[in-house]
Formats: sequence, C-alpha cells, structure tokens
Amino acid sequence: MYRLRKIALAFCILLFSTGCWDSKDIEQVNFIVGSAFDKAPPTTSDEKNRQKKRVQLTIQTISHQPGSSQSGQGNNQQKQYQNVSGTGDSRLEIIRQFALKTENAGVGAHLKVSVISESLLRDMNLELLLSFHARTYEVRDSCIMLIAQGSAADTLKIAADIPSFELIGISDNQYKTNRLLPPVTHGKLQNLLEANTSFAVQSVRTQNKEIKFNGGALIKGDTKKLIGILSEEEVEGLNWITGKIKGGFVKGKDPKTHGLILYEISSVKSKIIPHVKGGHVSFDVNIDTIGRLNEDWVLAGNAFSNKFIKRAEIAATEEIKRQIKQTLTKLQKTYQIDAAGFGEQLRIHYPKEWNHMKKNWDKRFSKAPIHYHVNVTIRDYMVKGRKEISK
Amino acid sequence: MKGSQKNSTNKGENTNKTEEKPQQAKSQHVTDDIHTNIEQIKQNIGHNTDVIFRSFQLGTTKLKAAIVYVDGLVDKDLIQDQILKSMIYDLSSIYSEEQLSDHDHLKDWVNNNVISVSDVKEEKSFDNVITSILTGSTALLIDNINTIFILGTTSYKTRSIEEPITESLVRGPREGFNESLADNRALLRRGLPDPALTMLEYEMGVRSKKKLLLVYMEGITNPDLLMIVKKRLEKFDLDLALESGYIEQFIQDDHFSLFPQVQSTERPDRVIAALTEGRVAILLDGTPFALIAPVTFSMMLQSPEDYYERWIPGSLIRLLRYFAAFITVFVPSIYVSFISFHQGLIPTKLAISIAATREGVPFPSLIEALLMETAIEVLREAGLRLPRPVGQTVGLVGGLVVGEAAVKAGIVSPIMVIIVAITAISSFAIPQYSAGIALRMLRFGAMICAGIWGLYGVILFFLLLAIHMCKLKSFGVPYISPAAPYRLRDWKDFIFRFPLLIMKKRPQMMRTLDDKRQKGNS
Repeated sequence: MYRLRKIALAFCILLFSTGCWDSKDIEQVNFIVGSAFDKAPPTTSDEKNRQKKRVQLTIQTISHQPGSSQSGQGNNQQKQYQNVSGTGDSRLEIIRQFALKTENAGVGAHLKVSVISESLLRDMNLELLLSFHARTYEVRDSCIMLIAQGSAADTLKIAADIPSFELIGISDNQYKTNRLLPPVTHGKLQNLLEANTSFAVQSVRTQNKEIKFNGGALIKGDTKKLIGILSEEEVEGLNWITGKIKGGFVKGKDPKTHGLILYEISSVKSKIIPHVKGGHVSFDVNIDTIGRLNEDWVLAGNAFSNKFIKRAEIAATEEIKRQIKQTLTKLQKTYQIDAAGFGEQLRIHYPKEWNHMKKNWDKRFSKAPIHYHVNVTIRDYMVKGRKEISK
Repeated sequence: MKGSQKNSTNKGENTNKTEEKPQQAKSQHVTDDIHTNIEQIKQNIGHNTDVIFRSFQLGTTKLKAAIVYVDGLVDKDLIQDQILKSMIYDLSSIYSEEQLSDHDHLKDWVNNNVISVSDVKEEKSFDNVITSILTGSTALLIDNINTIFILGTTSYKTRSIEEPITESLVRGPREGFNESLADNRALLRRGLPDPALTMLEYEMGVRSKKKLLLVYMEGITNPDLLMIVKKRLEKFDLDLALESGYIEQFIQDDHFSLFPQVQSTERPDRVIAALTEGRVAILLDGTPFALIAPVTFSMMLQSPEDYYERWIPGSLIRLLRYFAAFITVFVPSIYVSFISFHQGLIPTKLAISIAATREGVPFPSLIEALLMETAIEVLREAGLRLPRPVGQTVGLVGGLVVGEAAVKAGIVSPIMVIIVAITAISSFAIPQYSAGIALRMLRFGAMICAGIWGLYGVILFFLLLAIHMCKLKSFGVPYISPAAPYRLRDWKDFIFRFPLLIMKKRPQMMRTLDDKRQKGNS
C-alpha cells in the first residue's frame, strides 16, 4: 500500500513537472520557414525611434488552409505563405511583436533560410545580429544564410509557391553550375564566426519578383561585417581555388581559331600547399579537373583527333587560370581578405608559424605570392563528335 | 457450477433421505448382494434418464448380473458384441457348475476368459464406480462377487483433426488439436515416439473431473521446473475446469501483468518443439488449446514457420514481427507527441501537409487518436463474433465507409486514419493472439502518456514497460531472456533465427539436463 502511494506521488510529480499545457497541436502553430533582415526604414515622424530601431525583420510563415496541400484542385489563387514584418533592436523583441499580429505562435524549427541585406551587414556585426539564432535550440543547423543585394524582404516575395523553398532549392544547384558558392548553413556559420575566419556567402538579387543568385558577399573575419561583393565570374574563380565544384562548364577559346569551346566539368580536385621560408609565406594551388568536351564552335575541329582535344584542354586551362587570377586580384588587392581557406591550410601544415601570423593574417595574405597550376583532362566528347569538314 | 447445483436439488426431490445417503455411499463398499449394489448406484444416479441399467443372467445359470452405463458416452456396439454377447451366449458353452459356485474363481474366470474388453478395472468403492460410470465406463455387477468390474467403453463423438484456425501457417503440418484428450495425446506420441516423453495425469475440477496431462521430456526438462509446475497444479482446487485458460490463470506468475505468461497453442508441432527445448506442456480434456510453460516474450513473436522456412527469410520475417510489435505499441503515441509537442521533428513538407489536413479537426490529437483506436477495436471485436461472411462485411463497412465518412465530415484527419490502420494491421501480424491483445492494450497507455507529456511521456512509458518486463518471470525464467539476463548462446534463436546447423544446443535459459540437440562435436 505504501509502495502504491509512492508510485502515485511520483506520478503526480511527473504530471506537474511538465504537462499537456505545453501541448500545441500542429495546426495551431505557424512554421517560420524564412526570415529576412533589413535596415529599418527611416521614420520621419519620430526622431528618437529612428535611432533606436535599427533592424527590420520579415518572417515568412506557411499558412495552412485546408486544401492547400491538394494543390491543383480548383483554382485557388490563395497564397500559401504569409510575410510579416516588424522593426526593433533585437530579434526577440521583433518576434514578440508578431504575437500581436498573427493568430498562431511561430515555431522556428523549420526555418530554412535567413536572408540578410547587404546594406545592413555593412554596418552591423553578423555574429551579434544572429546571436539569437545561435542561442536558440529551435533553429536547426541546416538553415542556410544568403546575402541580398538590395532589399532582403523582397527575396521572400518572389513569384513561387513558397519563396523560402525556392531559395534553398536554387542554393542546392551546385551540381549544375560552378557559379554558385557552397551553401553556408547555420551550423557552418557558427564555426566560421567562432574561428574569426573570413568567408564568402552566396548573394542574391531580386528584380521584378524574380530571383537571381549572382555572386558572393565577402565577410571579414575580424569585424564580421560585409566588405565587398564578388561577381559571378569571381565566384567561379573562388570555387576553382577551393575545389568545391560539382558541375558547370568553362567557356574557353580555341587558341588557333578563336572559336568557342565548352568544357563541362565532371570533377575537380584542388589542393592548396603552403610554404613558409624565413617568415615568408607562399602558396601553390594545384587544380586537377576531369571533364568532357560538351560543345565546340570550331568548324575545323576534329573531336576524334587527340590534337584537337589537347587544344581544347589548353583553352579550358587558360580560361580557368584567367578566372583564378581575377579572383585572387580581388581578394588580395581590392579587399585584402582571405576567403578561400589559405589560412586554414597554413594552420594545418605550419601550426607554430600560424600562431604568429594569425593576428594580421589578412594583411599578410594580401602580400603572399600564390602560384596556381591547372591540369585539365578531357575524357570524352560525349556520344557524338564531328570530323573536320575541310580537306 | 449452476448446473451441478440444480442436479443436487433434483436428487433431493427424488430420494427421501438426501442428507445421509450420499455420505453412506462414500463409506459403503461393494457387497456380495447384487440387489443392494444396484440399489446403491440407483440411489446416487439412478434418477437420471440417461443412466441405463440392464440386468441379465449369466449364460443358462440363474446367476444374476447387470451392467450400468450412461447412454451416449459409451460404445454400444462394444457393449453388445463383447460384453453382453459373451456373458449370455458364449459363457454357457464353456462354463461348469463347479466353477460358478466358487466365487473367487468365477471372478478371475470372468475377467480372463469372458470379457473381451481391453480396459478392465476392479472397484470396491461406490464413489469411484459412480465417477467411472459418469465418465463413460460401463459397470459390470455379478451376484456373489464383492467387486464391480469397470469396463473402459468410453466413446463419444469428437471433432476430427482439423487445421488449427487461430494459428494457420503457409508451410507446416495442418494438424491441430481437437477436444479429445486421447486424440491430442496420440498426436504428441506420434510426433515424438520417444520413451522419454512422459505424461502425468491429473484430475481437474471437483465437479467437472477433467483429465489433465502434464507432458515433459524425462531427461531433458529441468526437475526444478517440473517441481514448480507440479506444485502449482496441485495447489488449487477448482470446481470446474472448462478450458485450459482456467488452468493458465491459476498457475501464472503475475496476475496483474498484461503479458501472457503461459503460451496457449492449437498446434502439436509447436508443443513438440517446446518439449524438446525443455519446456513443459499441459493438455486438458475438452479443449484444443494446450499450454506451454515457461514462455519468454520472444516466443510470443515467433511462429513455427520461422523454423520451417530457410533461415534468411525466417529471420527477416521474424524481424518484421518485432517491428510490427513496436509499431503496434508506439506509432500512435509517437504521432500524437509529434503533432502536439514536437512539430520540429517532422520533415518540413510533411509537417505542412499534416497541418493542412488537420485544419478544421475539432479535437486535440490525443482525443482524435483515442477515438479512432477505440473505434477500430470495436470493429475488430464485432467482426470476430459475427459469422464469417458478415464479419468481413462489418470490417469492410467499418474500415472503409466509416473511415472515409469521418474524414469527409472533418472529425478526424486522414493521416490519423492511416496511422490507425497501420497499427491495426501491425497488431494482427503478431502470431500469438493473446500477445497481440496485450500489445494493443499497452498502446492506449502509451497514447495517453504521449498526450500528456509528449515524447518524454512515451519514453517514460517505455521505461516503465521495460522495468515491468525485466521483473516478470514465467516459471522462474525471466520474461525477456535471453536479452536480460544476457545469454549469448540463446541469441541464436531470438531476434534472428540462425541456421539450424549451428543451433546445436538447447536454450540455455531452460537449464536442460541434456543440452545437446545434434549429434557430433559442437
């Protein structure tokens, strides 16, 4: 009997320690799938508030109307998502405002993408801006970050069923193009910020409700602010250095006829080898790539002859070298920022020397000579070649 | 029980001295005088119309004799051909007057030379005589002899040996037990013609007087186990033992546990396999269900087919059943906790579509789940009791029409219907009916825990269940062995069924006297 009472007591304690009042059925919560950070628009009426409120946060939630899952039935032009915006100093403060604006509480566990506007990040420390993300357990490590050139809120309004899903869908397209930086996820971002490393983030631009992933934004490691934007071609060069290319093509020029040669990339291996000699740092970058000849605009080219293949390889090599050079100039001269992981390789190979150099690494990097060697191998010319017409 | 009480009051009306006569009968022994003997039997059971008294004279002598039997329980052909005919006709051709005058000699002579029935006993106590008559024997009374011959003439209509309905297999013997103990015993003997197969006979029920057989393998079964079973069988005193379920409930270990601690089966092959593993079987007259003890939880998820099939499919199908058992208990509760507490654990697109389907459902997910699970249990029960064609219709109407209508009406969400259907089907994949019921009951507990505490509650429930199962024992064998206590040798036949070739020894947990299963060096 006494034992029974003990069990009953334990049961009651467990009951009140947590309980069904935490329960919220799935249809009573709003899934936040996307968030966008912008500079708060200046409010002319209130001078004090304008100074205080710095951030405008837009969140995108899924509106689950009955039947929205059965799309295609009937012509319901109802939007499947809702965007809500608020301004304030801290993220939490803004989120709390939304409770006054929407029926259901938001749940951040399904947050897929955070877009931060370029202009905001030029003045604001990224780590501080996202400190709420870093602390809460709700935001998953798989949530990706993008930088918007222009308004970040607009990227959540593009013409798509659910804009956030569209964004993560595009950011996964690396196997089709080499102009896309590998996605920076929430988990990876925390590492990068913690290590004070400079890095590049995919940037996007919206125009007429259409999105375009166009280049990369450079975040400086010590200030954690955005300092510059790389163009699409420069992103390509950066990807060649880091070797993070899964697909895409290189548009080369035939050295003989100046006709177009398109080299489709199958695989890329890149290795950065640091050298330290008497306090001077230099790097060798070895890039090996295998691919196929996809398209050639050279009428005189004979895909069956190895000579022509060699020519095509040289064409691709030259183009890749040109892109790398362009990127390195941007990184070393214009922005003086190591966003390609040279420092990381130095840390691995020369940990002692790295300890001395890491303090003003970005400056040292800008002066380090970098030699790059590109080796292109064309393995096949797909299912059809063309013989020379002349002769 | 009611029937037997009624019987005794009837007796009171018919005979005057009801209070004393039965007691007298107990103490009284058979006398020399045939008339008093017959009178004595008549006083006890003579008022019943199915008890037949037939008096005759031995051959051409004036020596009186009589037979008493119950109509319908005896083989009448046997009585006519082998008893009456030989007593009346054949006797006269070979008897001599001298032999008849010597009573002792007459007794032996009748026994040895006249009655051509194999099963003959001599009884002196009226109590035993009456019991024997009521269980189908024929009593032969002869004047001047102070014993009564009990002739085994029992013969009644039994069901033929059919395929067991509750445990049908794709591959395996199609024989099942029937209601006759003699047939069941014969099935076991035929499957295991080994002198070590031992059957101890007990009598169950003070009034029902059912024969019960305790079957084991001498030289394999652990004597300690045998002693426990014997002790438990002797400890209780039943009025009526209709079915082996009565026995099961008296000998089981934990009366409050939801898990069956004795396995019931209709299949002789299953019993034989259990016997050779060192287990004990209990057969009761009048029921096709034999009991096997001790059992472990893994036995509840095993089917004889696991062994008849080759080992890879056998193992995979067994694994599938473990999976089905898990689904039966935990899937509705996990669904409820995901929906009500942990929406973040569902993949985003699935979460969105679930949220859309639940839009407009008026109940919290727990109520919805309980509602649907109860409905499906009701359907199952209804389908079970109805005649087969009607039962199928009920299942169809219930499952399809009601489910569809409930979704259309917006009372439940379609995903809940899927969950309920999956759990129901999984629960039927469990080969033991009683184990299936146990798991289905547990499902409700898990759901309520999930509704209150979410996944935390489901984990608490699982822990509680694990504690209970670790504590539970069936006849001294831990219920979840060989998982705990950990016995690696027995894992060969636990979640996977390893090739028979390497299962060279009997289960370690049974502590058998002879643990070699296969000849040769192991």
